[in-house]
Amino acid sequence: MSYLIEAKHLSKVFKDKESTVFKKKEIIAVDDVSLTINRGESVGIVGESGCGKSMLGKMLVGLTLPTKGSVNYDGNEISKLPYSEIKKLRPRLQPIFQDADSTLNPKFTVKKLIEEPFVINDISKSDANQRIDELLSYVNLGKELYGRYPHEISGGQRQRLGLARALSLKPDFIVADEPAASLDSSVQAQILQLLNQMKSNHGLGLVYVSHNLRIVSMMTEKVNVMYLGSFVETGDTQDVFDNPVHPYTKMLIGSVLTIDGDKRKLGKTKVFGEPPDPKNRATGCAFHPRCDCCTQICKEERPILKKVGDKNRFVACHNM
Amino acid sequence: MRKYKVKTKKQQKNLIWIWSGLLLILLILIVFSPYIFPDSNTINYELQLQKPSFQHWFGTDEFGRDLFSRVFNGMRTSLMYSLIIEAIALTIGLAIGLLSGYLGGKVDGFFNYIMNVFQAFPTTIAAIALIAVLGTGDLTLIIVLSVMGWVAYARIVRSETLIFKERDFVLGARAAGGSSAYILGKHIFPNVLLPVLPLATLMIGHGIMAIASLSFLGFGVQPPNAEIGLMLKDSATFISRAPWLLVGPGIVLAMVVALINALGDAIRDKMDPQKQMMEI
Repeated sequence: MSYLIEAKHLSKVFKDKESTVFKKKEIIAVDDVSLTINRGESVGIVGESGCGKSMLGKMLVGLTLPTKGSVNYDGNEISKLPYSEIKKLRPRLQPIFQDADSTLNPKFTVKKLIEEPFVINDISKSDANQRIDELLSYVNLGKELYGRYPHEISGGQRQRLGLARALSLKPDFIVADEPAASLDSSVQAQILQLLNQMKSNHGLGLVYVSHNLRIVSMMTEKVNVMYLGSFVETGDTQDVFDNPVHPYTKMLIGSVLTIDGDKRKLGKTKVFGEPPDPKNRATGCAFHPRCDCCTQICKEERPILKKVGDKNRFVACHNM
Repeated sequence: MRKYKVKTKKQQKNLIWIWSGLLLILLILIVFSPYIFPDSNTINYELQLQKPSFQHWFGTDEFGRDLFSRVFNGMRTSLMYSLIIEAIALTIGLAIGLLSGYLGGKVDGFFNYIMNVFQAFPTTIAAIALIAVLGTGDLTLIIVLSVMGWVAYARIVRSETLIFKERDFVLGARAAGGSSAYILGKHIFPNVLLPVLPLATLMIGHGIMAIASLSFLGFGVQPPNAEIGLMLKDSATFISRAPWLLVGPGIVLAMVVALINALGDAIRDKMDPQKQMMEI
């Protein structure tokens, strides 16, 4: 059986504005990333701001084409399909965006926004209305909002509306880019539960992009830790969080704040150094300027993902 | 510290009514001027260069024609031509700006090059050169000013399109299966139109001025037809003997342009749903 989504050696490279004919400057947003997602499986991607998480997500749903590499959906390579096939495929792959404000067209009313996916795909009015009723009750929104514009409803309502739109065409695969970041805890729980439900009932494949490690540990079965465009540690979520191997993973997990203070902190590694600048990538291991167990080889040679232990665990580090 | 007096919503509304009322009166006079003042081209040498009076509010010109009626006759020509010019320029500008911004790459580069060429030319000089080739005439005037006018729209539309095409709602519509035509028409176009409309109304005033200046130089509307620029040119000859000849046309020109601009702002506020929210 083929994977729902299989990404092979994805890279996304941007030309830097400062580059000239003589000196080519590139910004590598995503660097040689491979991952697979099964039906009914949820995979987390964590990392600092600007490490390429969102760009990776956009490539997975086919909204941006990778510079190198390929994304396969159900065994078909998305970038090689003819336009008519892609149009049919699009509703199967849905993004949920980080910023609810910019997800909704400010000129559309709530009614128009919720109906839009059905209008685009020529779905009959009666079918659409039935589905809309279902969706609105899912995300707990009422029809009294129909006449309002996006700026006239609350941030939580906007986010839930965005979610309803993403779910409206019954997708197989969702990339959720921080869907809960702008919500308060109670609504957050509702949204996450809803996503979990969709996952187990409809076999939805989910990629959860976030820097909120606690939500990722709750929501996902596998996790990929990303640093400056590439994965530094991948494995089963529970395993990675209980026993982080890569110094960066240790640092991330050590930085999680908990209500009961230090008790549950896993690593004692403190966060230090600044988030990296993708324009001036460090030689060797990208993380070495911030790493406290950095050796000579880290500065010279780039580590690749290697299997660690007997579980499904890969780590890119020289000092394991 | 200075204290700013904030206008309440009611005061703002009253202000809009006053502006629209004034504009309406002017527009009625302008639009129906051939019926209100049918004999504005009648020459009467006995009434040459008279001072403003109750019969002739703005005085009379060197042929004894009533300046008041000629001003509105002239404004009618200017306003009509300006509307046509801006409509053509806006259409070209929107089409090129949307395509250039949305498609990007080589198309964008090509259109940018063309826009630079057009913008590098001083409008009046380019217009005079074109008129010299095509010959004077009202149709030439319209063509020339439309050809010179679209760049301003295209630039704004292009830059706004660049902003909106990266917004998440455009990606969302694409993810839902929307085609490029759908996204351009339903998502980008309505959002781009908002910043362009005030410019369009501003440009109507600008168009009136451009027609007037070309006529002033003798390249636009030809006598005996009335046109503000033409009238100002004729009045300038008599500036020492009859300085009041400049006052009437000048005031009406300034008022019409200012009122059209005010109307443009009002339309923008009305069209922006976010602005309406703030006024409550």
